[in-house]
Amino acid sequence: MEWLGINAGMALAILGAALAVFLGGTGSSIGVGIAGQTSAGIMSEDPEKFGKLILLQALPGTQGVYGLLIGFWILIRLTGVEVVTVDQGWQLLFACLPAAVNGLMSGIWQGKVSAAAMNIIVKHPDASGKALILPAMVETYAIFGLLASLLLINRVVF
Amino acid sequence: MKKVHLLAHLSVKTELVATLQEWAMVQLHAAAETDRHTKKPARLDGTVASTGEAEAIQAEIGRALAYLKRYDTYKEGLIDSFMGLKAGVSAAQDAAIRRSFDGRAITQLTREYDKRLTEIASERRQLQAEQSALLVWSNLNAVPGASASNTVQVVFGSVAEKDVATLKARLEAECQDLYHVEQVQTSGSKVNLAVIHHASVVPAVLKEALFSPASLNTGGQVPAEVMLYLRSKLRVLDDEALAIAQASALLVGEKLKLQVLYDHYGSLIQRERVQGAAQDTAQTFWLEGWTDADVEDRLTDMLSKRFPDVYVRFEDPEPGEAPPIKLKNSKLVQPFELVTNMYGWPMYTEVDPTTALAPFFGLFFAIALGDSGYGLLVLAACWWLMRKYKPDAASSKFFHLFIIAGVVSVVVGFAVNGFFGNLLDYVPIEAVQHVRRSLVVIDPMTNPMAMMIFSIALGVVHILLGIVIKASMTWRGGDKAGALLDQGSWLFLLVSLIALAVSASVPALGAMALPAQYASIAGAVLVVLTQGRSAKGIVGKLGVGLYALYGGVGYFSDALSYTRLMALGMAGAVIAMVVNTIAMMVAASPIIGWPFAILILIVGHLFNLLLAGLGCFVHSARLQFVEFFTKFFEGGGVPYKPFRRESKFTIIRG
Repeated sequence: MEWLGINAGMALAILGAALAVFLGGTGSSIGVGIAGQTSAGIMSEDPEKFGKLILLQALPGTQGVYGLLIGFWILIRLTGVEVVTVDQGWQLLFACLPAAVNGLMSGIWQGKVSAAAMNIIVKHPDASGKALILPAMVETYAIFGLLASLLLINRVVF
Repeated sequence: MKKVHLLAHLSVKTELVATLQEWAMVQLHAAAETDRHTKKPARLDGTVASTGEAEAIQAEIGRALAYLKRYDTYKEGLIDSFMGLKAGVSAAQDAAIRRSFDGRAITQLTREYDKRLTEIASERRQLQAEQSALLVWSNLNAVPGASASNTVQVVFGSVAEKDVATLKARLEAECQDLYHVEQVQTSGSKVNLAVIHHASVVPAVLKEALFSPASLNTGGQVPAEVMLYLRSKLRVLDDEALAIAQASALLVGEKLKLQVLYDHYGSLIQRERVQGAAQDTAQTFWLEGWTDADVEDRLTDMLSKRFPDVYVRFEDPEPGEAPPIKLKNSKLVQPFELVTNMYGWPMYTEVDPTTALAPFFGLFFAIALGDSGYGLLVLAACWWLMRKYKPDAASSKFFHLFIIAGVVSVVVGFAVNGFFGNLLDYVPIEAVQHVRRSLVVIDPMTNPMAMMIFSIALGVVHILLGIVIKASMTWRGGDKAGALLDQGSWLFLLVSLIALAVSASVPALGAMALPAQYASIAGAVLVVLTQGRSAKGIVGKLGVGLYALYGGVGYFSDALSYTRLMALGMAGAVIAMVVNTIAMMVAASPIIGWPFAILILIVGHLFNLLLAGLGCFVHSARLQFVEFFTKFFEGGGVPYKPFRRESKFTIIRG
């Protein structure tokens, strides 16, 4: 099937890769943004906390990395593939969705939890280690999304 | 842990408390708040009369240090602030500073400087406000106020540019010829002007919203002159502020001395709190605390030599009492106490989970990192930081943890075919490729399923170990039936299910399938029968049993949770691969190719290592806390904190 001369299979595969990168990146941008606002607020009072806050702010950034990874994974899988059929294209597109949508939602929520966990660092500096674990609980689902997407993409036969 | 009681004559109280602080072998009860109001006799080294005074002096030194920090050319880096490392001083140096250095002169000086700087800032603000108000009148070549007379009035003010014509028309109407408008200058969309009119007619338009009057009080000078004066005044203030800054910068040299004093007063306050918690009689006092059972003999010996008149008694903790916790592990396991302590401290009756956690934590970290090159970088970073900061025993744990994790990562990295991602693929030497290939056990890039199954298998071992530990705790606690029924039945069921899963996926073990199936059914029945045994009535027992069996779903989700190890490993590996690919693409371009490629490699891999490393640490810890600890560990103990010199800035070495 060709739409207006476009190789639809390839287009679908690229759409999948793009969705993963863009939704994962969006989730992370929002998450890192939320956490960044809180850390900036804390640092305006206590700039010394930078080292610990930056770790918490970085945590919601992984969804963007996972999205990027899925994008590249598609790229790697398509290397040397001459023609992507429409079926394969759809398969790749759907395979990208777990990482993409999980990344979007978990990135935002992880950012919120990170921001909340920053309060722990302010009020109980000794418990900073614990503060790192709470946002990681949210990230679990981004990882599962990544995992599902990786395995699904691998499953597509060329 | 042993409870320790010390009883002695009041005359040795100060010295005994000071000595115990130096030895750091006993955790003593300390008063939470010191009594600031009652004046106490001079007990603190003769330098201060009361704890309240010590606290005040300490606060004053702290304030001075905070002030001097602004002028400190040594800026704390990211790593410094993260490590919270302290300056090392020798005992002799510490004593010499305390003897010869009087911090009061400096704290007084910094207080004055700080005050003066605040004043200068507010004066500056005022002068600048005057300056900016006059700036829009700087073209006025007359002295405001001086040109008025009985017959002529001068009004200064501004109107919007578009309203100038209206104003003039209105003035024309109201004053006929007896007015003059002098446009001084425009600022933005406003025109500043002087309206000169005959005193007999006061134009109503000047009272309207159209015209906003300006009050110009220049003290009999033209605005430009006043501006010059303001500028020179500002310059004087700036010079003064600069001089203060320079003087303050010189005082920064005394930072260490102030820090020593700060910590000294801190330790005096601690001593005072311990003394405050002591029970005094007319002649004697009684101190109570906890100590490590291992040091009982040594402590008795040391006390009898130094304080022959102190009575000391050791007691075992009574049942129901919650002594503080000190973890005891071998040198290799000790660094992993950090992970346990992130979660909490075990209760006195619990097992310390650190030994069980240690090998798994190291392995999890390594699998999630999955790269021997990154492992080497972690090792290099630890080596460099330890050399640079010379951390004390407590901070060293942190580095030792990462050294162990780094070594394991190097080994695991080769087994999963990761060395800065696929960097070795670009080395066109057959021998290197041969070695690389021969070391690979599972390559997650070509065989992700195998890696995932391995991750889950590791998790299953981890979870089963957790249940076994719980069983042995229950068994040793005397509840042998409970251990067999509660944990035993689950172990039986889970192992049967694992056997079933293995027999289904490995054809050679197909014969195991049927027995495993029966065993699984028997295990499930066992769980239903045993888990509800404390419920009332046969229906209740069965109901609770069935519900417990349903809860077994939790074990599956726990096991699946370990797939994150494989996912994290692949995430790091793919990003590393991408960095390599981009670098090699850049390297192909002429001349600038290689330098740029190397830059991309360094920046890219460092970025990936930082992000991946953070994730590896956090998720390895999470697997311990959420999947492993929930099987047997509660936590909630209070750490053993021997009474010692606690400091904020300095550590006494040697």
